[in-house]
Amino acid sequence: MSEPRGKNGPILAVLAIALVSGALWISWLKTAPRRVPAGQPALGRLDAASLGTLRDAFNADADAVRILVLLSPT
Amino acid sequence: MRGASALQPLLDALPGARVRALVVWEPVIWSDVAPPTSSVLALVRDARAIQYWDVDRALSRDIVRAVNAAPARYGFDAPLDEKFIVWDVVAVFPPGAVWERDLPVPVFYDGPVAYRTEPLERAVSRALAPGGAS
Repeated sequence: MSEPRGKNGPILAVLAIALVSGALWISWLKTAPRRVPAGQPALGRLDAASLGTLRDAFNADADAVRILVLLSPT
Repeated sequence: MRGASALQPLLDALPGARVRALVVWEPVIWSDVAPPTSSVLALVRDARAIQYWDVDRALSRDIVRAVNAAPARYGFDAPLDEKFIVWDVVAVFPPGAVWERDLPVPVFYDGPVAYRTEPLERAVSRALAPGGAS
């Protein structure tokens, strides 16, 4: 026979499951492939070193109206 | 995210117009732990859009740097806080605007994007008009 659990056992178990599920969900969110709509180039990645790619795209369409939007994904 | 939903109808209303939409997603709130999912990216489905994930908010920092170098040029009375985050904002640039060291001055900028669709539409229409800009 196993040792009887303390009364906090089920709560701790639920918390542990929630934590593991959350970590797995975040991991999936970070690594899942991203698909942009048809006709668009692949999702670009920007950082301080690659900001020039955005600048190049902006200037490549200098004869067009450019709409620049900064948004949060959630 | 609602700003993206507001952008697509604008593009739908301008089929064939010489417009390029540059959509930069950046982490701002606690839930922004990852790049936008495919379903979020699909909110802007127009082929004239290019979408980016700016994990370090490099563009926001670069805009703050440019504004603080010359606040009056961008219509500000004073420099921005160095930690200011440029977020939920849309800017319109007319044909001919070139981004050299600093982002050019837009003919229109405002936010939150979802609530500024009408002035945005007007600004884009003006910019598309022959010889139109400001």
